[in-house]
Amino acid sequence: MKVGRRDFLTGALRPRNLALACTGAVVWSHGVDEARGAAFSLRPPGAREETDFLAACIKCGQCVEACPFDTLALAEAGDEAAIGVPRFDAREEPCHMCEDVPCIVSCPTDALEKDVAIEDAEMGLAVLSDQETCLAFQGLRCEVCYRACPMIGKAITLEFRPQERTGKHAFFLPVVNSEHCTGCGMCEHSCILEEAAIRVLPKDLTKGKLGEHYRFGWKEEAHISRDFTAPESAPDVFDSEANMNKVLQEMEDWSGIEDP
Amino acid sequence: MSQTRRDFMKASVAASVAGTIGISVPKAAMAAKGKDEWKGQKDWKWDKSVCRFCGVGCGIMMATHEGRIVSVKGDPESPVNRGLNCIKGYFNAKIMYGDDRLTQPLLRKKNGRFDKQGKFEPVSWDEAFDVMAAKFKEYYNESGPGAVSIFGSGQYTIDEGYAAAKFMKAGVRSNNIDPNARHCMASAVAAFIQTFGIDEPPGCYDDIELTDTVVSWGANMAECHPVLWSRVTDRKLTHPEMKVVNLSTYRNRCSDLADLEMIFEPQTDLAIQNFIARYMIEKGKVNQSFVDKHCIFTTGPEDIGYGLMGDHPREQGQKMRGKAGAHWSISFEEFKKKLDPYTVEYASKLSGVPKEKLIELAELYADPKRKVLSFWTMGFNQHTRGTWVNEQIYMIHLLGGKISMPGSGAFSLTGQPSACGTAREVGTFAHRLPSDMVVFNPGHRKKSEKLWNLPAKTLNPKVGTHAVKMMRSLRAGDVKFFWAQVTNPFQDFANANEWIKAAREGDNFIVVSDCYPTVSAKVADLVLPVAMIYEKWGAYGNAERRTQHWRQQVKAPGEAKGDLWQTLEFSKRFTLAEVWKEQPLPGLKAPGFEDGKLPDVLAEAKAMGYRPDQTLYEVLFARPEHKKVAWPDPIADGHPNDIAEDFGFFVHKALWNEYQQFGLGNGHDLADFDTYHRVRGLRWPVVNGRETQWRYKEGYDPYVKPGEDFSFYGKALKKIPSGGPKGEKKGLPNKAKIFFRPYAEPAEMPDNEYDLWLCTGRVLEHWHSGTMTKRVAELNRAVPYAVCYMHPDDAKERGIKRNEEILLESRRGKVRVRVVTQGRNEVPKGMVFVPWFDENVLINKLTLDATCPISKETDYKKCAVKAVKA
Amino acid sequence: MISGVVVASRPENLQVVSDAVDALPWAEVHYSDSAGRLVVTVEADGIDASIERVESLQRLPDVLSASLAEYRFEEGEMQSHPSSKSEPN
Repeated sequence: MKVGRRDFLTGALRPRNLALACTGAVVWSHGVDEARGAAFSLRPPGAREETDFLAACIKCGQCVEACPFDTLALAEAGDEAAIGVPRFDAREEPCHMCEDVPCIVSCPTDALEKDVAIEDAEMGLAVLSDQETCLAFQGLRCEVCYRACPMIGKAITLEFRPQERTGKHAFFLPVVNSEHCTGCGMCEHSCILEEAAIRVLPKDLTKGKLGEHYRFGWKEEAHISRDFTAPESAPDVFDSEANMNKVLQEMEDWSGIEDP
Repeated sequence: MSQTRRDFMKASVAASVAGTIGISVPKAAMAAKGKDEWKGQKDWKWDKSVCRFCGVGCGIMMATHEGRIVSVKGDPESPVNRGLNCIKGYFNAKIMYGDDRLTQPLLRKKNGRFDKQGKFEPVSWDEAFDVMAAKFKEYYNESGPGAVSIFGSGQYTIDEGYAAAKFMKAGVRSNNIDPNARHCMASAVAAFIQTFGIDEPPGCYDDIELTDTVVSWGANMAECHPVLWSRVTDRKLTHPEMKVVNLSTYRNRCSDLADLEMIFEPQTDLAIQNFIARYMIEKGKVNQSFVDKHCIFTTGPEDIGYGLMGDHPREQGQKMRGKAGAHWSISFEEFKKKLDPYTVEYASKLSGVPKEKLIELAELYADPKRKVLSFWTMGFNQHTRGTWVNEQIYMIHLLGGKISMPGSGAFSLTGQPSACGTAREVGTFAHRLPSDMVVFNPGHRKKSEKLWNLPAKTLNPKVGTHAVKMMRSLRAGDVKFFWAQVTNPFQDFANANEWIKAAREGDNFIVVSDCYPTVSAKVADLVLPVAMIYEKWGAYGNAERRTQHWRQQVKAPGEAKGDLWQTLEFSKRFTLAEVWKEQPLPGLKAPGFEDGKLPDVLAEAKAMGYRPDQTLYEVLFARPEHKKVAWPDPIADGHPNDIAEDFGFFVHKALWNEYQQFGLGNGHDLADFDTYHRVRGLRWPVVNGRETQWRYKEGYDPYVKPGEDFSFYGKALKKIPSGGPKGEKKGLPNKAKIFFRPYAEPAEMPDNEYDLWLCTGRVLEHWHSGTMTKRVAELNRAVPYAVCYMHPDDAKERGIKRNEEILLESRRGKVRVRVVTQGRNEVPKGMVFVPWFDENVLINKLTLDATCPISKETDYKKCAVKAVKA
Repeated sequence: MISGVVVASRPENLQVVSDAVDALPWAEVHYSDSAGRLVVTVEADGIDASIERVESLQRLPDVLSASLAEYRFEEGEMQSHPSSKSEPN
């Protein structure tokens, strides 16, 4: 993974990360939120081929406005995309594949092609980029990406293989089928590894990273050299006033059985 | 900060960064750097433990160093999982470290005093127990043992459940203790007891590697028992002749592997089963010699109601609702006649399953050469005819003689880690005592009183309030003290609005022992912070009768304390004089208790050497024979035991020694405490140091005598009327019962207004009410909230688009939820599915509290709802 | 606070850069690879000081880039910060 300057300036020290780092749960908080380096910029559904798209996009931000989720954003300085054009980072927030594709509908130009059914969108292609860290390839029952896939059974299918080591379990291997994959990124978003082992292409192929705390039990000298670390000062966190305030606040905020 | 510590941190940061950018860290470099992180691994202490989640019971290994968990792995030596886990297991250690962990007791107060309308304030344990004991005694002295209750769990460790049951039953003489396992497998229990006279599956997981056929009924093993499903998949891949059948009311991920998928109309499983039995008889595929030698045909009343309140329209005309469990023997001819209506046409019409599929399934069961293994979970158990539908699967297996044999069996899976080990075997139910004994049997009470050193007639013969009745009694004001341990009842119970309202607004006192601010904690008056699984010693029993113990690995945060500690400390607040006096007990009718009261047993207690001012702690948990079990003990191997330190003796082992006595010699034999710390669990009965894989089968089960071949030796309900409900009672030693049970309509069905079925369930990523898995950021990112799975046509008809929020509403309540029309669960038209883990989509506000009238287990799978755009 | 920093240089300058970094009292080189990348830890009191030091690494001769990849607080430092994390959702 390339650690770019952008992360230093905009990623690693963003306020949200800062808050996370301060809980004491430093080690695993970075697993979810730590700067991930150069995430590839994905385009909204219906986006034309890059040169045509950039020529047609007037950077009006209407598609971002129309997006009902926090998916689309306009590229900022330092993002790996021209400033002001719409992009999304699947790991942060994937495309939820709205049926009526409001981003396309809102586009005042031809940058996003009209009449593209969301199932036919080609925002990118998911690739299981690292089998060495993918838990399914170790025989664990994960396959979160498969179940998260909105085109489950089409874009991602499972291939079963016997697990010879145990002699009685099976591998459930996720397989991406490019014909159906829209590149929505739900798989990358949901991957439970610290660094996703499945990513949406095109992009630099990078290694996934296992949760630090877990080892493959049957490999004593596993290549996973890093381990589970409880918060450095777990007891301090638990004793703190902040912990109690949080608990009491949760209690207080509960809306009871009021109807929605 | 020490220099070593700083070096350690630097090394670990550097290694982390190197890993991130793909620079490999060679071993030589590690050694050259001489960093503590690498050296440190030698000092790590690895110990075996058990996964916290489902009933599969995977083994895990944990490494601790300087009081912290530093690594987790699947246990390669565990026969269940051989080192593999699902992703919940992968994150086992993280569940303890959510930043809203409860660390101090919280009490609702106003102006410095307890006030039900007050706000939560942190209090000391002393203040918490003072208020709790005062409220308990206020209600107890006013209304007797029927007014107090504990709602327990299949997540109790064995010692926790044992202590809670003993405190309630032997101490305060109340049978009002029931576990959430009531919602989970009570139907399986009732059917095991009625069919075999003893609880729990005859076979074991090894059947998977030996079978030719797996039939999954009303289960989603692919997601809910992931590691077992991995074994089924391996068997299928390595044995091409193997068939997998998935029967469900909606398409789930098990269908990926299935050769035959049957999506049937809710509740019609009963009709499908009866068709299979009819088919087997018609085609001459009954294993006649097995049936003649080991079985008897039985049936029971049909108008047994739906477990709803008596004034509910559905209960009208249901004459046998009070006697649902009655049954009697019938002839084979009569049995055959009762099956007659269940032709393939009728079964197909009711179920919506094509005839040829029904026949294909029936053939699998009928083929004498084929080994068949049936699995089921909540689709069967959470069913208004849950006991029946369980009994019908045994009917099919018994007719073919396909039971208790390597590769053939009927296996009820469990959803909780110790539904078997604690709730069932310890007997934390309103009617049970340890080892399958029951409170209404004078002999069982006598045996328990002897083992517990109690005066005669201390134990209460009246069955207590089962789970659903407990909530209804809370609403009615009959139960006034309610203590939830190791579970989240106010999110779990169907018709949740009613019970939350009753708890918040009634004249009652609600105590919730919990690890995080759950819905139940928020409803409570007093919240007690608990130590979680690896912060205490414990034992669980999984679905294949495997008992597995573990040691404490780390300390609990703040003032959090194990549930065992809480029960024992609370018991110090009661003297014998307060509880073993004469007690009124409305509705008590039992031989020896003719005056309708629990007698004063203090005089006999005195004769046994007790003093009236002794506490329940001294009498139940810290008798001289308990305190003799010393702590420290070499079996601890350097591991801490905070509870033993607090009480000054090895409480867990002392209670185990006592509990073990209940099962010896009656089919529930357990090994001694230390043995379990040396092995990867043992499947009971453990006789002469040997575990049992297949019960009732000669050569495997030590209780079956040579020459018997099979012996269904369970003793419960083995003397029943013969020929009809009023026939002469006859004993049926060593026989299993083959029940006829008819199809019956569900309690609530879609109509013009509430036009959709609602089915609830789980997803792989989250477990139970989400209390633990929602605190693991990675799992939460994978599945951040519950969604409503809906058929695309249903969505279209209602003008609902994918991802849109809707209001889902039943006659009882409504929730706001996002719709998904494609995804892991594919529901048929007319049905929606919503998982229940998410407290922000509190789906149990909608569900109906109808139960199986025999098992009292709620049907969470069927009620009527409507969906409108929000 | 200890920060993990990735320093990039041309492969042919690796040794020079590595020596220059190691000469700094608050920095330590842990790993490097043939592509010219170094993994360095930086000690500093707090975030502002860390940023300053990482920027000064950036200004060293032959350094192409210096990027902060990870940081951890030491015991005690954490106490001064609020213990609030984003909702467990």
